[in-house]
Amino acid sequence: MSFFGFGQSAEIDIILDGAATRRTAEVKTEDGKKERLFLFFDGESLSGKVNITLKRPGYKLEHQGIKIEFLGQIELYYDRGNQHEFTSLVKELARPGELHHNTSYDFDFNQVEKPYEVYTGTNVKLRYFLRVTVVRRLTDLVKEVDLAVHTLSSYPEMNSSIKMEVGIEDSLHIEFEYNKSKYHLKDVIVGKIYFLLVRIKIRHMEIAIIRRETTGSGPNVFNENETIAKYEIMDGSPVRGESIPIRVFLAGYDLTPTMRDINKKFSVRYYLNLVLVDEEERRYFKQQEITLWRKGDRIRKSLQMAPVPVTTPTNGESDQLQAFEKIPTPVSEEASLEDSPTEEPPPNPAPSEDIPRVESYAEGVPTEDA
Amino acid sequence: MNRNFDFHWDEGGSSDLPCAETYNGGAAFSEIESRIIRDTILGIANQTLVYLTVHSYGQYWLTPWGYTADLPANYDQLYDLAVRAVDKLTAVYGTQYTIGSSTNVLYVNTGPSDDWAMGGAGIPYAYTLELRDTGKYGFELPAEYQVYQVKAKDRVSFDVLVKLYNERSDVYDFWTEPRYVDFTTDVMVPPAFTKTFVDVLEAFNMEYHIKIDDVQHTIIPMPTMSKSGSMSPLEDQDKLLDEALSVVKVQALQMKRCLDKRKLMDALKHASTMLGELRTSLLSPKSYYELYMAICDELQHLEMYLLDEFQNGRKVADLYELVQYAGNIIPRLYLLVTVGVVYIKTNEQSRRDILRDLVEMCRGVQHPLRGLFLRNYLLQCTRNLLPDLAENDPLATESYGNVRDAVDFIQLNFSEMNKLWVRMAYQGHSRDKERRERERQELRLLVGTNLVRLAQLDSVDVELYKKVVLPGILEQVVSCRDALAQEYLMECIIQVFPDEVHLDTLHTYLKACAELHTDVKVHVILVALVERLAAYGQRQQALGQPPIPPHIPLFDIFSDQIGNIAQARPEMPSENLVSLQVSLISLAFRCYPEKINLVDKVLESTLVALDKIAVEKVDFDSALGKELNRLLRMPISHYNSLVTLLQLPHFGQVLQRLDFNGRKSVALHLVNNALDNETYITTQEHVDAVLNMLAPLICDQPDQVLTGQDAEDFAEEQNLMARMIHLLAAEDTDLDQQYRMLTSARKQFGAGGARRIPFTLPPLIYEAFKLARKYFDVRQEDELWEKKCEKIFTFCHQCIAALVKAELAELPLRLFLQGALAASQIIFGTHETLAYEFISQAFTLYEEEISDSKAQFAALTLMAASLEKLDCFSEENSAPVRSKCALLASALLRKPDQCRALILVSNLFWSSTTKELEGKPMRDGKKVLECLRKAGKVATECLDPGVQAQLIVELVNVYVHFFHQGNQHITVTHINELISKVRQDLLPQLENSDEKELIERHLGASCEMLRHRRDNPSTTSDTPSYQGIILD
Repeated sequence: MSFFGFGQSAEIDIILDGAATRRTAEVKTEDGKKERLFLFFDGESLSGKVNITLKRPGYKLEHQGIKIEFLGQIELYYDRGNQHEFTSLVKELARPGELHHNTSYDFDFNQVEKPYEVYTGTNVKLRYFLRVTVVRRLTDLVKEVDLAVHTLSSYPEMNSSIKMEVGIEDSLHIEFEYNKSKYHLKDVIVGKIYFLLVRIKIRHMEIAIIRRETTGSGPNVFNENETIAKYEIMDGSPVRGESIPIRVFLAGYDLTPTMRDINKKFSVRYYLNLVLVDEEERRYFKQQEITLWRKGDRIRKSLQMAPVPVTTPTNGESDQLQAFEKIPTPVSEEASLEDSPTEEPPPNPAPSEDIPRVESYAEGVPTEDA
Repeated sequence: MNRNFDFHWDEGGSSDLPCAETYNGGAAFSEIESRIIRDTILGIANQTLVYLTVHSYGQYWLTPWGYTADLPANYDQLYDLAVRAVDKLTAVYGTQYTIGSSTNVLYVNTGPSDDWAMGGAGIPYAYTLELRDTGKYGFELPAEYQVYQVKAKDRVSFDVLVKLYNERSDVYDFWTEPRYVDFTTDVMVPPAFTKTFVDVLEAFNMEYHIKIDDVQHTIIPMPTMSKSGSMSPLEDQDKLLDEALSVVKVQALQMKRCLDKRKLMDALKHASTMLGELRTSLLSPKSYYELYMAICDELQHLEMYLLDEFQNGRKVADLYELVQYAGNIIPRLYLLVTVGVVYIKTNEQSRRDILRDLVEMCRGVQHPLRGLFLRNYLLQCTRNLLPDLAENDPLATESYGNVRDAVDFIQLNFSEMNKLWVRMAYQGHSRDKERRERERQELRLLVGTNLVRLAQLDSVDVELYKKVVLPGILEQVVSCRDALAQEYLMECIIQVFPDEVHLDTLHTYLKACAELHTDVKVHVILVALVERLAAYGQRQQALGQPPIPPHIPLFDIFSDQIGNIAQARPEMPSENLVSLQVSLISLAFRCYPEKINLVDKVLESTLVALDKIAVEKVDFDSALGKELNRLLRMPISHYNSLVTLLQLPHFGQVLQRLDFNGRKSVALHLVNNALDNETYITTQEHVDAVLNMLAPLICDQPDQVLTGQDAEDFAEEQNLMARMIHLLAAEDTDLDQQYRMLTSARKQFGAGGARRIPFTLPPLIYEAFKLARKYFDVRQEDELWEKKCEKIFTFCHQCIAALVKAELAELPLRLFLQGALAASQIIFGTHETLAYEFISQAFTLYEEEISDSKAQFAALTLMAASLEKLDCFSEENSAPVRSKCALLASALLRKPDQCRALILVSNLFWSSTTKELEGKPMRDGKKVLECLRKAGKVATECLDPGVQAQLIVELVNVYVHFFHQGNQHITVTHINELISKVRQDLLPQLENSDEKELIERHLGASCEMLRHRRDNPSTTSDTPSYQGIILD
């Protein structure tokens, strides 16, 4: 009916309670732009109003019922149209009938479970939205409002440092250390690289943060690697015995928490990739997974100053250092300029109990506070 | 002019074309200017240490030689001094000078003044300075005129502008006249006025900006790149640098704009882009430095802005984090340092932690060049921020830190910089090693600055220096195992820290010296240290304090440690060892001036060292020889007294170790020194000792090289020795001593052989005569004086006889005559006999040895003259001698000689005297006439009428002379005869010529005189009458 302009139509607005004060968060859209959405956390209630404004006052609007849904959805781009809903809550706002004038309905989803964080990746998108549907005979009137959801984590129980000695036989041996294995999104990676043997001419060294997005399962696994940040940490060629400090502020990068096997559909993992580039442009690298998590940022993080002193291989925590590995000499194929170390032993062997728990996790090293 | 000096003149690098820039003048010293320079320099050369000749352009500090690529022997010292000079220059003006020998740095050029000053005049340090710039403007440096674009925004300021336009157009060059308010005017402002001008503009709130930064730059077209395609590396560098600088300029401008608009983030972005230029690997250290300086300037703007901003309450902490997001490490760290400095200045966070963090984070730059400059930036920025407070200072809180933190900070920075610097040596091809070393030399100041900073910390006391600072530095220096670095840094330590602390830490320092790399020239370092302490001692002395605190046995420490070092480094060249001894001597002179035994101790230990390396004779031209030479010259020049040297028993022994040339050189120096200072030698023992030292000049040496020596040089040497003899002077009262000294000297000189004694014996003989005269003067006091005089004359006789033996004739003849004269004046018993003996010896010599006619004539002249003077002969002795003379005169070969000799002899009969006459002249007129007759006869025998005429004219004069003297035997007739003979017989025979004219004039003059006498007869009775003289 509306084809000819005769039928009644209506505008649907969803107004959330406390919209004026509610925090928003930036969320990437599929086309790479960013939009600001209202931010919700797991377990928070959602309530508000739905306003239906008739476009042609005086004419009635027939409908088969009005409902509002809260949906959590995972969309795999290669499988469009096949969205997986992991959360779906429906509230009936009105029974089938007629609307004669603008009407407003309250709605309330109490303590909604929002298990995952919103995510827009290369192959997958996880979104939450509210959808109001005015059901009609031919075309429904639909209004969707996207919401941002952040998952907050508590301090990790275990957060040992990452420390490892790697190398290529007879040409390069380094020991590196990152102060933690789990970082929150505004955290600072502090570490050290200790050169035990240098027989190649290194031009520079950088740390890259790599996001690996894994979608699908079984035979249809897609991995998408994206370098989020490249951060030069050394210029020039060190000699044996040099130690190079690392300090990377994560807050400046577009990161999300690590997501593991979200609804059996996808994972997002982060890796620190230590890359050494030599004068002949050969690259030597070592990847380490780090876990990112989101922390409620009620307390402003104070500045972290001093680098964590590197523990020499001989003292303390010697258990972890057993994870010494040798990288075989680079394969001499033309193409394989990238020399990757062999798979490392079980990622982070379970830390033994006697490692002291990091008390002041993420709140800055106490001694540094002014 | 600078190719005109006579040292390897015209051997290349100069032009024979008078229009060429490098025209050599056609001959060495052909130009008056160069000659004046030469003469001036030669006049002061022996007291001149350094010769500087100032040129433009190129920013070079050049040493000789220009004629060869070989380096001068003292190149190390030259280079060293140059480096120090250049460092100072750089410190003041920031200009970089290249050091090297002119051939190696530039090109071959022969005949420049510095080569000559060093090679010709012997000035030890000679440099050519090529001042600014490096070629942009070349010979004509511009004043940097700037063009401002000015806009007056209101009436008042417009009026000001118009006023300037009307009244100060002599200073400000208005390119467009100011027409109305809001009209944009271009004004060119001379460099001296930019500040005034800007002040005016700002006072009246005018809008302005600099349109052209440097007018010269715009006017002079930039040199176009060579079309051939390949640019030389130098041009390449310039191009790269220019590009980088223009990026810096643009980014800096945008940064400042953003700052003005308070867009800090954007400003930081531009700053980061600008700093990105410092990531280049293509620039040479020199160009990189320029780039760095340009960027540092710009960063200051940023710092000022930030400081302002934060004093107004902005949080620095955020920014400290923010700048660390920069992905590239170089811009990141520069920004971090800049912000960190602001952070400290605003005192928000503990300075101790920030400093620690900064110096730690800089580890990320391991590239030597970039790392060095980054850390230099850190050092520069923090220079006033270090917590320079004593440990117990109440202000030195935990977070503020104390001096220990400051020291740690600098030391860490220092060791990192040093490591980077050392690492430079091992990068790249080994064929570039030389260039790399040069570049490292250029960069060393960056490393050294750390030490300067350490020295500037006021709170470092001696204790801290001793326990922390010095050991820290030394550990780094020793462990880096790099000769270049060690040498520079060790010297740096000496130079930057105060003398007092050196005194307290000598042991530590010297121990470290022994551990240095074998290539390190330890002696240079030690010499510098000794030099420094010696100067300190001298200053202390000037202040009236003991030069060195008595509890520090400075000299012993040094001499022990030098021994240790020598032991630790058996491979050290012996010349370096000796140069250490040289510095020890200098120390002894300056700090222990009264202890002459110390100097001897040094000489002794040198001797021991020489024994150790088993060197029997040291080649003078070897480096060791030169050092030894220096060592020996030191006490000579210091004491300026030969006699003092005799108190150094080992001096002579060391001297003996030199080869002939070396000994001779030292001996010459000794003699010159003695002459300059008029050191009199007063005892026989001293004479023996001194002459022993001077042996190479006195007699042939067993190791003497028998190659022909330049006769002139030889003569000069021997003349020096002759002068030396006059320094043998005992106390006035002790004449016997003087006699003993002379006999001693005679013995020594007598061994000199036939070549030397003609030089050395005559002065001895004269000294002896003088002595005899002195005895005569004091004859009342010494009863034995006659005997002694006799002995002296015997001595003289022997001396002369020695000369005769050496187959000399004229010289001994003269000496005999002199002897005779001397003997005749000193009236003692046998003096007549002796005088006669001398005279007869002279005659014997004449007859036996002198055969050349001219020499005979000359000798005869002398003999006649001497005889005339002698007054001690009795007639018995005198007569035969006189007649002998006349005989000899007529026996001469040439007639004119005969004639003239006879004339001379005639005088003997007239004016000489004998004992009997008691001093009255003889006046034997008859004999005179006889002589003259004979002379006339001889004259007429001459065939050449010209000669004859000349002789007769002379004869006329002699006749007139005797006639006037009252010789009765001579009459007017004699004179008339002669005159007419000339007039009538001889002159007509002569052709008109100069000769004839001369004779005529001569005769004319004589006649004139005669006419005068004839026409004006004297009133006194004893003059004869000239009447009867026929003149026409």
